[in-house]
Amino acid sequence: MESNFVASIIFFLFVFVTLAITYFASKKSNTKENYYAAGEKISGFQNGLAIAGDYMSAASFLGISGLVFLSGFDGLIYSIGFLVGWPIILFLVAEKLKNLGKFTFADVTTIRFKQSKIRALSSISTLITVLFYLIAQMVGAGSLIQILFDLPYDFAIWIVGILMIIYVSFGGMIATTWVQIIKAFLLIFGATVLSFLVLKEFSFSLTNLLDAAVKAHKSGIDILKPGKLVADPISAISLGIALILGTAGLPHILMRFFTVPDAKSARLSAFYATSFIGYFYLLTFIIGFGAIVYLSTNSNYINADGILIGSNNMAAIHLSHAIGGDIFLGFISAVAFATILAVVAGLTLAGASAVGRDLYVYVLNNEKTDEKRELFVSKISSVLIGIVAIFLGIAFEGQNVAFMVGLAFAIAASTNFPVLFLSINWKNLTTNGAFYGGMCGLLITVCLVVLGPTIWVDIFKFDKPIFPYKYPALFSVSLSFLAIFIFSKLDIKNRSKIDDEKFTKMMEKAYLGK
Amino acid sequence: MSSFTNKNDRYIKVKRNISHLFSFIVIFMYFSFILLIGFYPKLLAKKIATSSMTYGVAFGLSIIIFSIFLTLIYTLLSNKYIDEIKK
Repeated sequence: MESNFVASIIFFLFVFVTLAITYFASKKSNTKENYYAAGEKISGFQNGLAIAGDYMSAASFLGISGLVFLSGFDGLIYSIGFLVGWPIILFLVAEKLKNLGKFTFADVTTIRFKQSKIRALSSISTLITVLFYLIAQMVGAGSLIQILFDLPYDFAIWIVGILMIIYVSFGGMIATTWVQIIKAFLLIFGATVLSFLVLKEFSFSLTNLLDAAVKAHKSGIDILKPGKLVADPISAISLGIALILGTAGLPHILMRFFTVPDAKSARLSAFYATSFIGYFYLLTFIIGFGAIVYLSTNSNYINADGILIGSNNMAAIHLSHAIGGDIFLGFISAVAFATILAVVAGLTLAGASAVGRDLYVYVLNNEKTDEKRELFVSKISSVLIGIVAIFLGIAFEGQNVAFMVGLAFAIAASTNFPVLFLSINWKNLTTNGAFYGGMCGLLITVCLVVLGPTIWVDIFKFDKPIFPYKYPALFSVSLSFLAIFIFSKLDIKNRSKIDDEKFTKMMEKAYLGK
Repeated sequence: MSSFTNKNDRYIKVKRNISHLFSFIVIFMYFSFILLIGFYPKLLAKKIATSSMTYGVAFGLSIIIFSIFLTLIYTLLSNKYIDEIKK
């Protein structure tokens, strides 16, 4: 019970500090600049930490270390995939995004085009991405908190949901940013201590740790080889594309680049984010292998069938107990809780901005509305999105929601990314090309996921999937680019309107700033 | 794209080439890893010397470290040197 006590104290401290920040932020959240973009006053270093806090979910901390615990090398494939999107964001989008946009990524994709159509597309794809991602986080949060703190599932979901609504609706981007910064700091600190304690036992030699893990794991040396997880080349490539391009198309991630003052700090944000996230994944690798050594043969953590108590996702949590005792277990549990809060807050803010700004101002009111009303709609949307997330989180209790994060990445990769990338790089893109092509990408992705093994077989219980691959991105991204290309070429009427002047001017602004 | 105002032509060209080059390096590195996993998993399963460390693990961890290194170089180059060409 000592661990629960420590966890509660740390968690209440976290909630107290973040609510205090939200209180001060709420006094400033009456302008669009502050509510959506924290007044552009976040430094590159702070934003790098906040991005890391936004991106490193409980799924990547507990899920990837659990995957390494279960199958070694295969866990590494995932963590590399989640990381390599980051250098690409830095090289291709970060500074252009900052130079061209203000609050949401649709500000960038609509510069040359008819606002209402493209904003409609991006708000739909943003909402779908955000909702699926949110449900996955909520369900994960509920079951995690249930195991860690012995609280009822529904109760846990309500705590997470209400805190996230308070952060986002009152504190906007300023509060969300600080929640993410504090969480990132705690998570990186916790993972560093855990890895340090593991490596200390092996005189700080990675090879010694791997040797011991090979001896302890029932698969032996096979855990250091590519395994069954990514069996065929098509799946491997497809997963890679989803992770790289999906990361560069996640609305809550793209939005973070508007919170810094200029292109220089946008680059710094992406550099720091890559460093923190990369360092963190190196740690999860050590933690996963540490868990193999310490937990595989210990009956305190393994049940009679040789399976980790709780689930494989508990590897990092059990390891913190095995190696650091009750107090450290409490600390890591509280960090896992805080981790969830920061991610859902970022998602909710992105969803609320898509409704309040893209949908309400540009699609429904043709830009004829004032700041006060726009912010009111955004704040109400954050409350509604929060409530929807709470109810869906409760409705999906015990269901397999792992496919939802995959679906969110696939949609981001096949809709948001192609439209964003082509709008700033391809002169001949037209309004209709982006709109109908992007819609095609969205529909194709959803269809391929529904007809694939994860939903058609695992959830609908059919014998065979209609679409054979678990990861559709290779096909959906190619088809989406193709559809956008064809619709743009067919769009003869509009083509003349999109003159060189507008594209060239945009390109200059993308490189040179305002 | 020939009609940029002359004074910043050079900046945009340098910038574009560098971001494309860096992106290419990362994509090449990552997809060689992925393709090796898909087509030649045996190569990655080979042990380095007598330790348990395999080429796969070494390659994988290097990708993470090298990615961080590349973003550092790109950011320093852009912020300290290439921005200076901008008029």
